[in-house]
Order: sequence, then C-alpha cells, then structure tokens
Amino acid sequence: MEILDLKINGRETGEEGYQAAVGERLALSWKCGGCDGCVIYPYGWEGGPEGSAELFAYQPMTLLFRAYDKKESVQKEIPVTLSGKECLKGVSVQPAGIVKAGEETVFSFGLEHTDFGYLDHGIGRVEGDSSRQFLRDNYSVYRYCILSGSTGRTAFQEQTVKAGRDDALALDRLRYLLTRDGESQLYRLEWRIANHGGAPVSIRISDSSEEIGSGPSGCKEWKREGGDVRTLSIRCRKQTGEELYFGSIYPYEIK
Amino acid sequence: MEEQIFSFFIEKGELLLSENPESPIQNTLKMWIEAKESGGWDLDEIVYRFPKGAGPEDFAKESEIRNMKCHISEGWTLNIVSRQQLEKLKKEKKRGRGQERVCFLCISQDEKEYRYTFFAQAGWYFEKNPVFELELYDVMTTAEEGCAQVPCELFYDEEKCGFHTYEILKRRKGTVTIYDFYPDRGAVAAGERVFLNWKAENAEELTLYADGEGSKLDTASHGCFVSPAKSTRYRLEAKNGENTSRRETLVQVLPAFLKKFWINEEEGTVEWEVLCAGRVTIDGMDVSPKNSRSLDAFSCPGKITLTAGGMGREIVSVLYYGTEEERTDIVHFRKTVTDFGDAGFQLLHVEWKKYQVARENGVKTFRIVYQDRERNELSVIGGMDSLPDEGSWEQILTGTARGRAGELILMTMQVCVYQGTGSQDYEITI
Repeated sequence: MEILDLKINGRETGEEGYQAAVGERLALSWKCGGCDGCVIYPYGWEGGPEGSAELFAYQPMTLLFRAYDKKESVQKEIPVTLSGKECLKGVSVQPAGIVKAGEETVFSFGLEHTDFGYLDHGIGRVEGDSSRQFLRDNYSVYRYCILSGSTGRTAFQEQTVKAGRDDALALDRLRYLLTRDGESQLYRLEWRIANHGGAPVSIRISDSSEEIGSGPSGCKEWKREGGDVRTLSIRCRKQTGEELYFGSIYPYEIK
Repeated sequence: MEEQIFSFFIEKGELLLSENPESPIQNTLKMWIEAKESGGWDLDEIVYRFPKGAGPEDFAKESEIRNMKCHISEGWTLNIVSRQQLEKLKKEKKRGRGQERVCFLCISQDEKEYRYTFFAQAGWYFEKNPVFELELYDVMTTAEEGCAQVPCELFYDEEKCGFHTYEILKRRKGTVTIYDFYPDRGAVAAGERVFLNWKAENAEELTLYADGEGSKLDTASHGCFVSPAKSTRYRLEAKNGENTSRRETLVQVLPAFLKKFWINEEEGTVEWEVLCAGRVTIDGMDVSPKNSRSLDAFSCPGKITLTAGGMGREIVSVLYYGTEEERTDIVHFRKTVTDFGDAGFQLLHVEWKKYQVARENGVKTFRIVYQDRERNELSVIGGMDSLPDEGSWEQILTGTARGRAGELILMTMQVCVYQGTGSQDYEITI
C-alpha cells in the first residue's frame, strides 16, 4: 500500500508544505495504491483510494493524510502555513462610470499574495483578480475586501469603487423607527424607490389586508399592540418586466 | 456451500521462524472446531492441508513438517494408520454414537502439500465446546516470512460439510511492527479527550511519547485517551529486544469548526458535528459536539439554531426545517456566521440544496436575497434569477456588530411559481 499522489491545488508539496493566503481554497487530490480508504485530518474527512476534497485555510494547520487497509496504514503530512503578506493594491472598474442596462462591468483587483476577495451587493466571494458582472443596483459604492494576516492575527483590508447603472429599479431609501409607548408601539417608515418609471408600488404588512403605502416614496406612521412577528413587503414591477427583487420578500420583522 | 454449521478457531496463529536449524525454535499451534448448535453426529473426517516449501506462503519444508507432532482432544485415543488402512476403516465404518472415542490419523503428501486426515469411525458428537482440538507441537519452519494458508475440510460419509482456511503468520523472532497509529479525531478543543488507536505486533515494550515525555503502555493495549492542551505530536514506540518500531501522529488544537449540520430526511433527524468546540448548543440547550436528534423535537416549519465556540471563533448556524410542501422543493437551506473574534470581521456562509423541480416542471424559480437590516442593503446573491440545484455563497461582514449578525443579516429564499399553477409563492427567511 502506498500514497502514489497527493497534491494541493495541483501541486506536489515538499517538506516545507504549502503556503496559503488566509482563507484560500485548498483543493486536495490524492491517489493511493492498494488501500481500502483514507482519512484526512484534522477535519476527519473520509474518502476512497482516489479522490479530492476542498477546505479553506483560515489558520495554520497540518494536513495529515492517512490511507489504510484492513491490516495497516501509511500516512503523509502537509504543513499549511499562512503567508501574512496578502495585500490589496487597488480596485478598478471597466467601463468606468455609469453603465447601461445589460452592460457588463469588469471589476479588476490589484492583489499580492492572495487570489480572492469579497465584493458586496450580493456578489460575494470572488476568486481571481477580476470579476465580470451585470450590475442590477443603482450607481453606488462597491466594497471589496481581502483577508490578510499570518499566525498572529487575521485581519482584512478594504477598498471601494463606484459602479452601477443610473436607471436600475432600486430601493433607494428605507428607514424604520420604532417608539414604544407603554403597551403600544409607534412605527415610522420612510421609503424611496428609484427609477420606478411610474410603476405602482405596494407596501404591506402581513397582518393587514390594506396597503400602508403605495407611492414611490413617502413616510407612514402607525400604531399597533402586541408582539407578534409580522412581515413587511415592498413590491414594484415595471412594464418592462424589471422587478424590485426585494419587494415581495422584504422580511422586516416588526416585533 | 450452505451456511456453515461449524466455527473454526486458532490460538495466536503465528510461527516464529528458525534462522538456524541447529537451534530451532519449536512452535506450538492450537486449532479447534466448534459446532454452532449442540447435537448430531454428522462429522467423521477432518483434513488439514499444510503447504510445503520454503516460500512466504508455505507452512514449512517437508522435512520440518515430518518432524512435527500432535495432540488431539482430551479423552480420545489417536492411532496412526497408513492410507490403505484408512480406506479400509472407512469401508468398515460403524456408528458407535460416541461410545468409542478412537480417532485415526493418516499422514500423506503430494508435491505441494502435507495432509493430516483424522477419521473417527463413530463420528464426533456436536457440542458448543470444541468438537475437535488439534495441538501441533515441535513445529519448526525455516520458510520465508509471510502468511501460510492451511485449509481445513470436514466430511461426513465423504461429503464435504465444512471448510475453513487458517492463516498462519510466520515472522522472525524479535520482529516488532506498529502497523497503525491514528487518533479518532485529528482536531479537538484544548483539553478535550481524544482516543489514540494503534496496532502493534510482537511488542515486548510499548511507550507513548508526547512532547518528549514517555509513558509505558500495556503491550496488549490497542489505544488510550489523551487530552492535549495544545497541538501535540504523539510518538508510539514498540520494542522487542534490539528491534524498535516507531509511528507518529498529530492531534491539533484548532478553532471551532462546523463539520456537519443538516437534516437527514430518511432518518427524520437533524445531525450535527462540531470539531474543537468548547460548548455546543442546539436551540439554546447544551448538546454533545456530535449527535443527532429526531425532528419531532422541533416545531415545523422552523429554524434550528446551532451555536459553538472555541479558540477565538464563535459559530452561529441556522438550519431551516420546512413544511412538507416546502420540503419537496428544498433539501436544506442553511446560514452560518463565523465570528473571527478580535480580527474584526465575520464570515457569512450560505448553503442550499434543492430538488430539481425547476427543471422538471419548469414552473418554479428560486433565488436567495441577502439583507443587511442595519445598512438597509438588499441584494439577490450572485445576481441569479434562479439558483443552481446545489451551491454555497460566502460574504465577509466587516461592519456588523459582533454577536448580532444572526439577527441583522437575513437570507431569504424566494420560491416563485408562475400564475395559473394553483400554487403560491413562498419565502423562507433565516
């Protein structure tokens, strides 16, 4: 029985192990001869004689790969260290400025010693030094974060860039205020929907059949008693088919 | 062959090799046969076949096998007979029903093997205690190290009624080997107990070292508990005379890690496993780090919340448990927030798996919306109008108050049905 092949991200590692960026995705692949199965420590994942697994390096650790049969086992270790040199040099967008509906925006990230980061506005983790997006939100600030740090302390670095459309249907403003008055609760809601194109807006609470608001912007106050959980919903659908995505699913719990 | 009515046993099953025929090592082998049920007489012949030769799969050389001796079950008389005599005895077979405890042994051979044929004219009475015992002594072998297979066949009226192959290990005196050494879990919380397993053979002395300090172990033991306060490399050392065998393994003390938290629909349970956690709760109740619980214990539809922490990490994971109707759409929907403590950020991880309804009937679309209630941010994750059947999404939370991400960051799965289908849209928020 022997471990024929053991790689991280397609590379064989020597005794020095693998130096990862904080949070890096590590794709482990293996091939063993004459074994019944294998276990990958520290997390105890089980696998067959040949396979792959994925994990994220948020702290230094040693991957211990153990292949076994009914009688014995063989093992290999891969120390995973964190580089601590991760650096975010800059973020840019192309084309610069406001884009039109359906136009693709390319975010480019200046990265050193890391190869991923996080973009907000629902984009999430981005692998690599660029990301192509059809932007749905109004022209606004996009935040990009990377993780950094070594054995001592994990941290993050953040930079921003402006991108987006100027014609996107969007919930531009939503403010909510709750004031308690004995058993009663006084609610105040302010909203503004951008680029609605005259489409009707409907704002409801799940315990009432009546709308509490219907304009593209406004302010509404109401009073209620009791602590039941209710759902607030905001809906708007343009004739073009563009929909306020969050309109019907804004689960603002009113307690 | 039908299910065997006999069980076969061997004591130790090992031969020490003789390096020097002038000072041979005399081994003893004890093998016995038991009946699974008491009562009956349907066994009259037992044949052992010893492969002869000097190879790793051979039992011993011909001259060595010829010199070995044997005892059989106490109370029985053993008579050595020739092959011709045995054939004659078989023809004169009588059924004494155990009154006559006489057994005949015929030793024969061909090119490959030595055969020991035991024959009892009156048969052997079945009992759960050994029906037949064979002790071979003065067994000397100079064959190579390895494993010899000795077939044992049972007959009644010359029809086979049982079969087994004894595996007999041959090794040099003084050989010591640790075949395996591993922990039940490779990562634990500081001070948490973990079991170290080992398989050591022929050790006269067994020592476990941790951080340079050794503690003697019972050589017959197969494991022990340890409770490392920090990541610790353990070394197991087995000695036999001048020979030593060593193996190492590692138990790491790491931040808490959520390995498993999901619904097992078939079993009707929620299952979880958290590694390296000092404390784990399910809906506020302390639980063990690895366990499962019946779904009947939870309200439906509902959210099951798991919390865990250890070594600077705090984990809050919410698993949605839907109604029966929803469960035909969604296998699982889970939100996990990991707080990296003083690092000043949290990681939000969302996982989903849905049945392939969208493709099958084309009437439903699924999407997940991220909502930051503090910043009034709302986004469809990944910009997708319909989710893939299975996936995950991750975001860093840098401005969210520690300990409040669970209530401030909401994930909503929206299931949209086209009009006219008679079904209604619904949303699941965790």
